Amino acid sequence: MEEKKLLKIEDLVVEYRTDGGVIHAVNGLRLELDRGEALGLVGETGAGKTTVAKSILRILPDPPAKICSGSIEFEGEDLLKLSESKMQKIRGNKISMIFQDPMTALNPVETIGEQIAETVRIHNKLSRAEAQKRTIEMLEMVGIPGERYGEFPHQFSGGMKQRVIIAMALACNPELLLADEPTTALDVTIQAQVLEMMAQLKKELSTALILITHDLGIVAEMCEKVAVVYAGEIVEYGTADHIFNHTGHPYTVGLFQSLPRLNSTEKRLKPIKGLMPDPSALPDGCRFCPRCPLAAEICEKENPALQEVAEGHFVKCHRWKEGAGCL
Amino acid sequence: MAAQTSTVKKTNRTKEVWRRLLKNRLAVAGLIFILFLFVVMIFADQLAPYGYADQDFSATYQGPSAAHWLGTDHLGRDILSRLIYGSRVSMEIALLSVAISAAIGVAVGALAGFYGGVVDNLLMRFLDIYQSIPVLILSIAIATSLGPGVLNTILALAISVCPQYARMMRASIMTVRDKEYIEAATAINASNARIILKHAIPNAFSPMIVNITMSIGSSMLTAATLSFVGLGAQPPSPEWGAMLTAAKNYIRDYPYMITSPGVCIMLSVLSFNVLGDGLRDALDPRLKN
Amino acid sequence: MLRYILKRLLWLIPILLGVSILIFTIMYFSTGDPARIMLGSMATEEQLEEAREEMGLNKGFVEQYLDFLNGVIHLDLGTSYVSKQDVFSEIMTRAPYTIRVAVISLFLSIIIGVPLGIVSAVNQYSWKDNLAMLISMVFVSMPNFWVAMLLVLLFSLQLGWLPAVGVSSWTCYIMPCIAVSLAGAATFSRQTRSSMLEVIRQDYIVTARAKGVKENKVIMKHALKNALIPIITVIGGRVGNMLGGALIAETVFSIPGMGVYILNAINNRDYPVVRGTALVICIWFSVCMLAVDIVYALVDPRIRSQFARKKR
Repeated sequence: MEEKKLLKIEDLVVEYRTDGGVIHAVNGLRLELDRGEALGLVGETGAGKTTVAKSILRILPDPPAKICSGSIEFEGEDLLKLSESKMQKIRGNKISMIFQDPMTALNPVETIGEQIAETVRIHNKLSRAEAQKRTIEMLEMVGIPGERYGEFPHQFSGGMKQRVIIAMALACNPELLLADEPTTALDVTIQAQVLEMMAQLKKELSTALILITHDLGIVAEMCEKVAVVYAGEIVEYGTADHIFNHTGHPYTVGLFQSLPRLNSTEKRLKPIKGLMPDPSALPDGCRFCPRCPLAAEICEKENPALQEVAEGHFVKCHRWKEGAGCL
Repeated sequence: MAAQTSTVKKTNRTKEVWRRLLKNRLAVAGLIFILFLFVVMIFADQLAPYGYADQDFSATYQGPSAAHWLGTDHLGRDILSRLIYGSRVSMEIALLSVAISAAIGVAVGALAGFYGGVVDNLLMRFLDIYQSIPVLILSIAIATSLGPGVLNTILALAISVCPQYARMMRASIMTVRDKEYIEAATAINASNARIILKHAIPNAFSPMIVNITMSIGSSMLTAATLSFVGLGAQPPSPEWGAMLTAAKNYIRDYPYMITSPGVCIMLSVLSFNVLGDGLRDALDPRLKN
Repeated sequence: MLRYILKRLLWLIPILLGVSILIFTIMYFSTGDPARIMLGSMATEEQLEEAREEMGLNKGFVEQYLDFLNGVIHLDLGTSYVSKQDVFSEIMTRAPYTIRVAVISLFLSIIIGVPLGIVSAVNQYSWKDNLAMLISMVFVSMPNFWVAMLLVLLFSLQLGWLPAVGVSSWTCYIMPCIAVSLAGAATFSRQTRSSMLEVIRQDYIVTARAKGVKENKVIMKHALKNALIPIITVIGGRVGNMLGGALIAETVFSIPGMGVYILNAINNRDYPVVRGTALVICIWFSVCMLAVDIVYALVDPRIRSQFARKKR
């Protein structure tokens, strides 16, 4: 705690305001990240994971999205208070992002080289030739031959496009990389390759990483820390080791149980019953209460606070003691 | 997506489209003006203070007055009355030409889209050629060949515009054709004609209705232009374009003669255009962000 | 790229052939007897028969078409029934006026329409957007000969700033070009707005922002270049309207271009003139469409590569 954190998110609240009402996407989220650390942000579709990442970069579509309150401190500075032009200097430079769908994330009418070189040129005082050299280095680092500099996105496969995007994100040696489900849109075999590459690059460049995923397997492989998100809140937070071995929150338990295991003798998976609550009408008490197998009276009435159950392991549950016994 | 929804949902959808359309103030204004035009058309005999060809040589070139709200023309005819009767001619040309061209276009496009292969290829190449001729030039050529007159104008317009509908219909059918529910319909042994009628045509409906609305407007404009070049409706027909054409010789001294027919054309075309725009947004809210 | 252009040029041949057949056929079935029109109502039956023979009107449809086609290839579009002048040379002296008006108007409507559309899209639903779109809608809804008349009324007759007729100086072109370009500018601004709105929502625009690209560069470089593709289609489609508009504007402003020529010919049932002028306009239009297709390929690498030879 004495050392300054790289990233510190406090009480972040994000809403989408639409004709149909206010959607509470992120509700008082807290998060901390040290330099070079990898955090897995885990949760179902619609839990608000992507919104968190886009809030950090302040690239949420406004309207309808609105960051209502909270702070996002990056290297001691609140990003939400920065001017737009200062923010532009951080985007792609100190913090960069890898998007979910490589098929649509590249500009179809620019060469991939030009797209990477643009990032390099914006954030460094480099000549065109130098930027090109740096770009070719980056391409080769992600395993794309430099001659393909002048090709267009449609000439690349999905996996190759994702490599281009990774090269683009890492081109300026960012302090923090936000990876939003970087492999969901890819084939399984390509997924493994891309992940391996990311893990290796992360180690080489000592970049901090927030990996957004719903795949606990990937988290186990890549991340030291895990934050489980449910309905825009963090319900469990701690080291990956501790959470995997001493799961505290019934939702996390549910996530583990819905994973297929090769070495298990169980005949059926145990999916979590029900659906995420409607984010425009969240329940009063614990948000997970309607789906929770351990729900008690108190859960309906009171939204539990995040409590430290072991050193550095936080759980947001009234009944974490019972929950811990489940797995 | 739309076609997969059941019939129960379909009535809801119509309601939903209506609700969205009525929220668009501009489109509602357009709709009201169009309804007003229809009322004027139907009750022209009752509404017009004078006959459209009644000449009064003691009252030529009169500016707006209590007796003639919009003045009189070079033959002493009451301009307001002519405009009221003219709505019949102008609307008749616009509505009929669009109806005919949509019918021809849909038939051709449906054939091409559904059967594909040689039929499609031939028809589409023919349309390529057809559309290498600007609409105005094509309708001028056809109207010249057929000779002037309201009916010939309608035909000329209908023939010039129908490729648009053919292409749209074909495109819609092409996208529908490979969808599963058509396969399902084939699997239960429905005939081709039945498939076209029951599935493909309803599916192409939304873009069609928007385009039809919009092209009523552009038809009015082309019809007016044909009148202006001496084809189209002939005097003493009070078609609005023909009125403008007749007035152009008096522009220097009696400018009021060109304003009112022009405003009528503009407002009518504008109404159909804003209604079409509103319909498009209402039918496909995704486009509206 | 060269291959693509070549391919498109070759494709022009059957199109133009088809257009000539279509135009010929339409005019072939015209009402009225050309010989009668040429010789007037006083002519005797023998004179008429002689004239028909001379004009080749007694031949069959196919033979007449081949004669016509042969003429077209040799740049001979026949002679006018009325003035007895050679149609082709007449068109050549008149075409520059029409082309001048059409090209200037096209250019004007692009430089007015496209920026207006961008401003509208970037400020969607603001008062600027609403006003620009309402004005565009009004301009699209006005017959352009009426716009031309109103301009004459205001700038020539009321204010006396601009000459109402003729081609004596460049000021004579101001009103015709404005009259023709207003509707075009309106169409382009509407199309630019809607395709910009479509593109602005795409993921790669978010990527560009996430890279730290400045907002105006996101719009002008990343978004506009993509949005341009449908805009070019509309511009291409509008070339025909521009030509038509130019023809009409000429008659209002008494510019001695092809418009006045063809319209007089229509009134006199001077078919060779109508046929020849229509054909020349169609050729011009087709060439413009070809140019649009080529610009298309220049902007969109996906189209380019579809036609290019596979990489070595």
